[in-house]
Amino acid sequence: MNQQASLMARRGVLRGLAALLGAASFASSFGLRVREGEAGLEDWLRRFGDDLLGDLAALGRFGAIYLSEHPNEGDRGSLSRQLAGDGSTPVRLGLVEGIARDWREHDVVVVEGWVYARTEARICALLHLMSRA
Amino acid sequence: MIQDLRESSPGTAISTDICLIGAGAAGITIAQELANTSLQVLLVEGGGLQYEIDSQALYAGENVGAPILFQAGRLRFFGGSTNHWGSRCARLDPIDFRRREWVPHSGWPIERADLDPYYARAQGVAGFTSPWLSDEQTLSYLGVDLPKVNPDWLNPFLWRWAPVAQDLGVRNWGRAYRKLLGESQNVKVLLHANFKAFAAEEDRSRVRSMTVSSLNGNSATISAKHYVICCGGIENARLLLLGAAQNSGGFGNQNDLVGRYFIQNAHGESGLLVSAERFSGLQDQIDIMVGPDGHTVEVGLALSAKVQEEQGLLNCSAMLQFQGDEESGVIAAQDIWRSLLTGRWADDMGVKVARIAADAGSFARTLKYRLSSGHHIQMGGSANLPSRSAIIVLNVEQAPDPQSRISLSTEKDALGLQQVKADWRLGEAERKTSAVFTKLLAAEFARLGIGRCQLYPWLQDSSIALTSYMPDYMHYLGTTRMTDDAREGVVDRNCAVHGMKNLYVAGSSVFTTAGHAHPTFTIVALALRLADHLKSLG
Repeated sequence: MNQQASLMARRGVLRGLAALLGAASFASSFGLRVREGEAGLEDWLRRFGDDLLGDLAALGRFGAIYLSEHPNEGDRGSLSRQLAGDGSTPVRLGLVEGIARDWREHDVVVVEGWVYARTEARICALLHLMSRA
Repeated sequence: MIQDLRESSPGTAISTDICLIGAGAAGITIAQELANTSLQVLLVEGGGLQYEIDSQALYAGENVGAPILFQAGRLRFFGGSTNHWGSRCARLDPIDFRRREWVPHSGWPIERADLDPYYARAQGVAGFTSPWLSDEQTLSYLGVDLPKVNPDWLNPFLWRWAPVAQDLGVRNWGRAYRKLLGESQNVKVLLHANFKAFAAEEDRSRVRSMTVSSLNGNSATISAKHYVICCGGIENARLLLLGAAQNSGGFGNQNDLVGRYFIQNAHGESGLLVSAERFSGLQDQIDIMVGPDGHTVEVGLALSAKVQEEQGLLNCSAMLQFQGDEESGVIAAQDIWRSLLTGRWADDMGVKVARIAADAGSFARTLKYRLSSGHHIQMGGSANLPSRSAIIVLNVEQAPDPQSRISLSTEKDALGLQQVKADWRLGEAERKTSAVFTKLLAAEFARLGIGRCQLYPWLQDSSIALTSYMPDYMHYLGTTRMTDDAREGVVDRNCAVHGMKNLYVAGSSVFTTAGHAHPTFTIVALALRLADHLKSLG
């Protein structure tokens, strides 16, 4: 039963991550670029996160757990810059490419047993830090 | 000819060329191979033709390590443990035979290529009616397109289920070969003949004779040119230890190695693969299917040799055990149907009918699939049921460990012989391999958009007892391991006991390392190889 409950609780997170991993072509059609550094990424997450990722609160809760296990990544500015890259790629496409690269290179983290790409975990961590601001 | 020691005259003396001790996979394989040759063969079996409680009780033992199911894990009657064999056949991988720096005590004295001709012959013994297609040909036949998985990390792995068991409806080699051996002119089967003692020459380099007893008190003395112990991974060691104890040493135990390196295929669930939506096409790729010639084929994934070497891991493979989606109309229809078969209405009948109605599309697709598919409807498989979760089930090589061992207990059985004492130990190498492998699977499933994985806690928490999640899998190996150097093992490359001229061991106890593949198919291949060697001795 615990396993089933855990499964149900994670379904929202799974849907959000599945949406994020959706077609890269769709992502590129946004045409959005990070023109203003980390502020652009956070602005993008605020504007499109609800629709694209679904349950931001659930993702943020996961991010809090990740940060508790990786306290050295708790600086919001650094995290935003790390995720935003050099700004040459549309936001969503950049994130999707980062996640795909993590899977390819096996750069994964395990939180509460769930296996996440490093970039996914950092997005969730950023959402958590943004929610506290 | 099949005889019963319980009905023979007291003090019977039997002279033969080859005495095979134990009628399980190894003993029956050698016997059928030597049938209709010029050699006189005696196959002695402790049990009868059927399961008997008092005979099975002779398998009792004492646990001082992780629990071993001494009596449930083995069967003591004609056919041996093939009487509950799962019938999965697979070869060990070439890397399993290598001496690997990162796996202490690894390295067989033979290579996979030495065994390949015998693996080919083993197919016939296991009941396959035509030679196996290659893995690539089989996957192509099944329409499986697994190369999308990163081949540097993961490779497709195939089990072929032996028809020798399927055709009979039960897992029973005894029944499959009983007629052939019963009618053979040169093979005699002696039932209810339990090993009692070896008598050795003074220098203990040869077995002079062997005594067998039945539980009703009859006994016989057997004189043979060659003796082959074929009693399984635990009992093989026990007989050698008893032989050494009764004869003041020898019997392969000069270096205190008999019974050590007691290993298994570590087997357990490592995680859950889940998808927000139902799996689409995954069950066409990784599942139990009907393969070439109608034989059952099970497709899974194995850890590549490259990753094993780079990361210092053991060999391992994974299968998926699909869980039906409880919200689907198909599962609701199954529940209703099963209830009707038992003459009652299903619980929540209204809810289930509503689910069928709401999920009519999936219900119709599954029905059509079941009616039309040639490849994917197989007992034990998911049959493409609507599913959005699957349990990841691992088979992991256990690393050889001299401290994991079989020895003799002070307790005695009904024949007055010392029982076995097992100290089975699993180590952190198996946990590490399971964790890394499952994470690699998780990364690949996520990358391919198949689903996401949750690892079970035991993978990463060394305070959790590994054997609680990888309990006794009843594949007992390694206790009379094969090595060229007598200081490292018990039998040589011909399965002859080091230091003895006419005593051999057949079966899973000679495995130097376990691999992740279940052992029976390799037991048969090694037994065929030993049969050829015995034939060459004349």
